[in-house]
Amino acid sequence: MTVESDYRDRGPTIGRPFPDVRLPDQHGTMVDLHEHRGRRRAVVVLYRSAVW
Amino acid sequence: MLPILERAGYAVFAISYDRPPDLAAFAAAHHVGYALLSDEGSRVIRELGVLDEALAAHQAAFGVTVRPEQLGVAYPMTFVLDETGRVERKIVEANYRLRNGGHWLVEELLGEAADEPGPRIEATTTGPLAIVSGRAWLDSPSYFPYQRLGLHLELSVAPGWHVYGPVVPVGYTALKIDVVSGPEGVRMGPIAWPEAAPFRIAGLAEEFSVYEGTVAITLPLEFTIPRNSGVVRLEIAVHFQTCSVTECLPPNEISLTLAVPEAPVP
Repeated sequence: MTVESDYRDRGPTIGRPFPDVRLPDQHGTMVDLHEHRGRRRAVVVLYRSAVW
Repeated sequence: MLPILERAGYAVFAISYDRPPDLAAFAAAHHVGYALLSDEGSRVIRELGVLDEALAAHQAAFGVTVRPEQLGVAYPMTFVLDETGRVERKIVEANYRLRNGGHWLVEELLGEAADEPGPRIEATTTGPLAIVSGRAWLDSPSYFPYQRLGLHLELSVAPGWHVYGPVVPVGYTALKIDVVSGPEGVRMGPIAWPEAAPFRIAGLAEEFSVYEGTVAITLPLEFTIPRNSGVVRLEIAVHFQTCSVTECLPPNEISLTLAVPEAPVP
């Protein structure tokens, strides 16, 4: 099992801008994460799958 | 629980490799209104550096066949962004099989309990001196497989009495909480103990750390069990020793039993 510190190093760095992300949502509509966020705080949840 | 964050002013995004029709079905089944983003092919998951390369090896170890698209699975991680879009916090699970219930996130970020808690469970020490009583409730009415939920435990110690904190001198019984029966795979994670108050008895050199009055503890319960496991019945034992300034009672315990239904499968 990987130690937790390895996981904390994963992904965008704390203090840095979260990268631009454009992906279709559940309705097939293209969503630009930062545009949709506007000036709000945000939570981005990475998860395994909605299907399993 | 994520809609609570939306109402608190957060934009909420969830990213997985699933196709939009699968996400639409999931959203309909779970009344999800926030954005479920479809990263089919896992390009963004790779670019963000959150691909779980170890999954195939883990799955092989568990004897489960991996479908090709499942190799594009992300680490279960949550990023909290500030108003300018910078990463303020990362919330990471050390065990890739576990997913925090949204409830934890709500409590972490808003400092308030999510709504829809599970039913309350009560237990009291028996005997002529019923000094300790406990109330517990799960932060969710049901569990998803591989989810971690919080069991809120409130212990009340009668006035004039105390129980010992997790660190005690030899010869005393510390407050200890165990799952004593339940399905294999349902475990209690590390407990973040509330700070115990220092306590001295005149004439004794030892310093104790004690809990008095009402003690609130959140117990992380990890449901590392497959789908269709059904209702999980758990018995949780709280071991303690109560003392006053003048006397100590023998170690005692209270038992909390709970039945947690499985959340409906979409």
